[in-house]
Amino acid sequence: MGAFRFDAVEIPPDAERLRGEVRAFLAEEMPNYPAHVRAGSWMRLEPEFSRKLAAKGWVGMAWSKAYGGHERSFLERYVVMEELLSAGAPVGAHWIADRQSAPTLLKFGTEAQKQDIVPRIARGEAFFCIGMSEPDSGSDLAATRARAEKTAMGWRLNGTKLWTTGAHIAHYMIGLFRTSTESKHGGLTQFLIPMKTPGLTVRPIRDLTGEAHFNECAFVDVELPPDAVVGGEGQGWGQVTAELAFERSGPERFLSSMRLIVEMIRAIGPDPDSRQAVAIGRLTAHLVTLRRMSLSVAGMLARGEDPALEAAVVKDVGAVFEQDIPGIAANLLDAEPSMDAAKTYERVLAELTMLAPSFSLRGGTREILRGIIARGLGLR
Amino acid sequence: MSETRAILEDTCAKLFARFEEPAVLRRVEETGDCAEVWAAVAEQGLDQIFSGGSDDPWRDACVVLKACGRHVLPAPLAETLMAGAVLGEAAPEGPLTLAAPAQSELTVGHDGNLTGRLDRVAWGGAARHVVAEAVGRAVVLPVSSARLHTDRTISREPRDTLLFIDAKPVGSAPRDGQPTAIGALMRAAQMAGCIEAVLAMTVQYARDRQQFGKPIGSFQAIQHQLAILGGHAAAASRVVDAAFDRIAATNASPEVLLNEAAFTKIRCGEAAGVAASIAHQTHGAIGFTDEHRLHYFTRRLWSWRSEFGSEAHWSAILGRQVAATGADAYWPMVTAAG
Repeated sequence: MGAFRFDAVEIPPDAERLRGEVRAFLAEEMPNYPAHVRAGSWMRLEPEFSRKLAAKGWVGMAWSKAYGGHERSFLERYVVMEELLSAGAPVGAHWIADRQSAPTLLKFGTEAQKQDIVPRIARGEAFFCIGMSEPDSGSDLAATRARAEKTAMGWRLNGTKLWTTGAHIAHYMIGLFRTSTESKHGGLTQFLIPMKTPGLTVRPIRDLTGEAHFNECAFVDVELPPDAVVGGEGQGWGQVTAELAFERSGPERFLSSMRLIVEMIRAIGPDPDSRQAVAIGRLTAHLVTLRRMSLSVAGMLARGEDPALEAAVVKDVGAVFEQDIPGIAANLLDAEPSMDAAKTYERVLAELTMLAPSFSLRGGTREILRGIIARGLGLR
Repeated sequence: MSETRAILEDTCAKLFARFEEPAVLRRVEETGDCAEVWAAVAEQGLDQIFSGGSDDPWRDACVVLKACGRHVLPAPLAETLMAGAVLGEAAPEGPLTLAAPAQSELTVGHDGNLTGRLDRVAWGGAARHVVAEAVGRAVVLPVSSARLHTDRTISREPRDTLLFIDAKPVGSAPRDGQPTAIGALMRAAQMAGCIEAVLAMTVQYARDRQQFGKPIGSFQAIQHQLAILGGHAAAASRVVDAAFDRIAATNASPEVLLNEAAFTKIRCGEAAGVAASIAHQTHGAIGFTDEHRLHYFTRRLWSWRSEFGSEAHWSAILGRQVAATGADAYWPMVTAAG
């Protein structure tokens, strides 16, 4: 019954044991991380931290051992992800490669691509960025104009990719390029692009937080060999759609403001007034519900089902929740956001107040998600 | 969902659909007489889930409670089931109902008889017995021994006052059943089912209703409102399903009952408000008429939202508990809640 499928999921005891291991590891590895640094979580890129996680076997968890993976279940992976995110671990360096680039290569890549690159991702040695958005192609992804032309040697790429998170530290990009103008959706192809290829320049873009999380990537006559294509020529649209299901389905889509909830509870203390108690209780009910929805989506992935619609629901509801929190947090304690690291609560409040607008932009805007949900309801 | 529960849901859908007609709903709302509906429900044994009628009573009850909401069943089946959850094997024959402890005042005489009043009892006059709280136990009183003042809420379901003078209880059970929590879970599950129905009805209306030469559902402004409604419907349904799963898995431990009552009543109550608002906005003036069936659903959502503790009531309980446990125990608490 109902328009969506959110089935029951039980986390197996093995995965719960793993949760304890992750907590112990994080207690050991990040005792001195200040709260405002934790608030950044998967927006913070620390290659060294990513390699430590890889050494624990927590990168590439669900992939085949033949490609350096660990053949753990999707739910075990989910448990590790949510523990890392809720602790505010700086997981940004490997996050994209682990979440979607390697799964894309494993699903659509050539045997050579899989053997060459996926094991390095699992070891925390190869980081990825996603080349989808462009100056004139944001939500309208199929309007992609960056082009790849066939040459005698392979392919020549020209154009600009924009808002490319982590491009400044990534070793590779999987980029979406136009290989034909005959059909809007049919003329797109994904390419595997080493970031050191001549002709590719990365320019960091400072965002409103004052830091540079994303970049502009300019391609001027970038030459790639014939085997740089990922999947089929002209199959890019379908592949990207599958990739976005991975991008949208994880616990990072409702845990972004977790650090602020925790610091708010700390600042309020054990004896809240009734307004504070009501607000904390309400947020907790929402958080527990979102986690239950998100786990259902993980269960669908584990069973090999397509959770694109349900993932869009969780991401949309989750982003509204995450974005409400800074305003609630400021009001409950009559607090003013501050950049002074000595004022823990006010500093975390500042960080998340500034980051919040991105929550309903990255990984598909609110408007795109609501369109997907409306289609799922039979309105399109 | 297991196959047996899918069959149960189907049984409810077929049976309850007979009483979902506005003519039937209106008649029961006007007279308070649900005898015909109750007879049909009892004939199927749906009232027996907690009295030996099911191997997995909490999960089965979840299906039936959501169906009661989805089809706005005009009879105290939800109340009978949850009174059964409080009493277990001690439950007498239905229909039963459940008094909210916050609206109950009973004192005990030396002979163990009870005197006092129970206010706003759902289907009080239609029930055979009422379960109430007295001296730290759940007691069963025959409605026939009460003086009855009939009343209605905006759902136009009966919310009656029962006055007892020196009345003899016919049964009792330990109070770990937590009547307020069980009542909250009942209303939350009904709301989750009702919101699903409101979503389906509103989507259908948006596909059918033409303005500016096309279905209003083809306008992005309407699509996005329905997407928001869809998100709330999904959240309400998921939190309720998981709650009843968890209660079943922990043998209805009092602590889990209390937490799940809070999670579900808070989340479903908020969803109910949004759902009713978007449904009415989408339906326009016709949805505001007595003739249209939408109000049978939305009036119940508004009424159920306030019963057995509002969102604020449960949020304050949960929030105090979280604050007392402390910031560093917060995430472990969330994961332990499942």
